[in-house]
Amino acid sequence: MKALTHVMQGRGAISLIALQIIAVAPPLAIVLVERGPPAIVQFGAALLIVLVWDYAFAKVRHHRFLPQGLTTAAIFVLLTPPDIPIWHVAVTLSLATVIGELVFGGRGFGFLSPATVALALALLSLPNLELPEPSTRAALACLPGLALLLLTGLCSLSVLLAFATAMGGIHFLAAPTDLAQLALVAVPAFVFLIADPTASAVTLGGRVLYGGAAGALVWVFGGIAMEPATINPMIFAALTASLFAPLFDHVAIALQTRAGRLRHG
Amino acid sequence: MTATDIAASNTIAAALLGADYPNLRIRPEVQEGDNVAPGQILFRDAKYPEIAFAAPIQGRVTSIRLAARRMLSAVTLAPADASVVAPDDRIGPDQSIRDYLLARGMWPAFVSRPFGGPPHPDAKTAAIVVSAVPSSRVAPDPGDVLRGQSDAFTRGMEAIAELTDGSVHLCLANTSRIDAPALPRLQVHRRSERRWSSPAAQVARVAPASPGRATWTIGYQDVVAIGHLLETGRYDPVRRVALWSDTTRPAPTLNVPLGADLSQLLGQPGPEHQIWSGAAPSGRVSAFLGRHHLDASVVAHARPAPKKPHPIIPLAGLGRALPIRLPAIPLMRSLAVGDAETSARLGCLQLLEDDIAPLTAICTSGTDYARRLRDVLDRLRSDLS
Repeated sequence: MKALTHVMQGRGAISLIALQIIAVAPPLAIVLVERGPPAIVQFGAALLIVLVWDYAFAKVRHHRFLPQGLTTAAIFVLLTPPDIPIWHVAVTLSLATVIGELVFGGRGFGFLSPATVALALALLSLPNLELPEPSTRAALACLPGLALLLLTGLCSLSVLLAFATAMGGIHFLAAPTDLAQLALVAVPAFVFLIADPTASAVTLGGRVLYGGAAGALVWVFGGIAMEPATINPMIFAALTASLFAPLFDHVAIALQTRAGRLRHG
Repeated sequence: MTATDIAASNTIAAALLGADYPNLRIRPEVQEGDNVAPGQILFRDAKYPEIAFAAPIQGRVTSIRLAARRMLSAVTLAPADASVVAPDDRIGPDQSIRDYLLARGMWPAFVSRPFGGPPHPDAKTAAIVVSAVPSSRVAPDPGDVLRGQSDAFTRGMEAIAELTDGSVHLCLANTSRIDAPALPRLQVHRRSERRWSSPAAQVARVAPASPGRATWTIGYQDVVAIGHLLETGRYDPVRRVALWSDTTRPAPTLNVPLGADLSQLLGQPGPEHQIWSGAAPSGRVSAFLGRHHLDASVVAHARPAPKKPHPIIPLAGLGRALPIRLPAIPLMRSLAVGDAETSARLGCLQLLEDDIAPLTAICTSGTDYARRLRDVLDRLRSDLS
C-alpha cells in the first residue's frame, strides 16, 4: 500500500487519471459489449470532444497535453443510455469539461468532478432522460476498481463507510426499496462520482460529513420511496455534496481546533 | 567491523550541517586545514556566541562552507591522527550546568519547539521532553543502548532537570525496559510506539509548545553524552545508529560519530538511489548523518520538482503521514502558497522539517514541504519578534 501511494509522488494528475482509467475500464468494456455499436459510437464521439478541449486548453495555456477528459468520457458513457443525440453529448461534455475542470487549471485544481457535472447537465437539460440501470456484471466489474482506488488512497475509506452507513441506515429505517437493486446503482455511482478525491472533502471529519451527506442526499433527491432505485438522485447527491465539501472541511477543522484548545488550555 | 571500532577506529569523516540548525550564522574558531580533537570548539553562533559547536572526530577541518546570507552550509572534517589534546575540563565549582553545556558544545543537543534549532542561551522552558522511543522499526532499542550506561543516563537526567523549573518528561515505548531515574519533577510516559516515535508527537501529547511557551526536546543518547561529559569532562560524540539498505536485513546498528559520512558507511548509492538521514520517510537526503538522527538508509531517488506546479491530489494516506493528527491537505495547500497565517492556524507550529518530510514523499505535486515549512516558520518567528 505504501509503495502504491509513493509511486504517485511528484507525478501530478497523471497518476490519478491513469488509475481511474484502470478502474473504469472493466465496467466500461462490459457496457460497450452489452450495448453494442451505438455505445461504441457514443464513446468515440465523447472521447473526441473531451480530447479536443484538453488539447485546445493545453495549447492556449502552454501546458503539457494531458488526456484528463478520458475518465470523464468513460464515466459519462458508462452511466448514460446510448441513444442520446450526439450533439447533446457534445454540448454536455463540452460544458462540463470546460466549466467543471479546465477553467480551474485542469484535473486536481478544481473542486468538482467533471463527470458528475456532465451527467447533471444531461439530466437537467433532458428532463425525461432515464439513466439505464447497470447490469449486475457491470456493477460487479466496478469492485476491482474500487479496491484499487482504496489501496492507492484515491478513494477514502472514511467516505465509503460514511456513505454506506447513511444510505444503508436510511434504507433499513424506512425499508423503501429493493436492496440488491439499490446496490447495483450505488456501486458505480459511488466509485466513479462520489469517491472522486478532487471533488470530496479532504479532512477526516470532512470526509465523514461528505460521505454521510452524499448518502442522505440520495434519499432527498430520490424521494424516500425511491421505487425503483435509479442512478439519477445519486448524481445530484454527488454534485451537491461536492459543492458543500469545502464547508464540511471548514466545520471539521473548526471542531478540531476547538477540541485542541480545550484540551491544551 | 564491529559496532565499537567504527567510531573508535577514527576512519570516518564527519560534518556539522546547517540543515540541523536553521538560519545559523557562525563565528569560526578554527580554519580550514586546522587539526582538531573531539570536543574541541569549531565555531560559535554569531548571534549568541555562548552557543558553541564541538568537533565530533579527531581530524582536520577540510572545508567551512556557507550558504546564502552567510548561513552555515557545512563544516566538514576528515579523520587524521592529529596530536591535538581533547579538552577534558570538568564543570567548575561556580559554573552552572547551563553555562557548562553551552561552553562544551552540548547545547545544540536540545531542540526548541516551535521553530526548531537550539534554544536561546538564556531561555527558560516549562518542559523538557526526553525521547527514548525507537525512532523507527529498525532503530536501535533504547533499552539495549542504555544497558550499562544507567549511571551516565541518570546523571544526564539530573543535569537536564536543573535547566527548568517545570517538568522533565521521559517518553518511553510501552514495552520499554528502561528504569526511569528517581527525580522529583520527572514524569514518565509510556505509549505504543506507533505514532509516538517522533518528538513532534511526544511534545504534542505531553507538553504542547506554542510561541509563548517553548518546549525543548533531547534524545536519550544525548542525555547519556551529557552524563559522560559531567562525569569525565570528555565530550562523547558517539551515537548508536541503524544503517540499512534494502540489501542488508536486519539492519546493523553501529556506533558512529555525530555527523558521520554516510557514504563511507553505506557505500556510494547507484544512480537510482540516494542516501537518506533519519527514519525514512522522515528526515532528509543527506550525505552526512543529521545531528538528531539515529537512522540512515539508502532510498530510491525522489522525482525532481516539476517546473510548473502539479496539483495536490488529496490522497487518503496523506492524513496519516504526519506524526500528529493535523488536517494535512489544507496545511499542504497553505504551505504551498506560503500562507503563514493559515498554516499556523492549521498547526504548522507543531512541526519541524523532519516531521513534514513524509508529505513530500507522497504528494503528487512534487512540492518540497520541508522547505516551505521552514519559510513559513521563519516568517511567523519574525512576525512575533
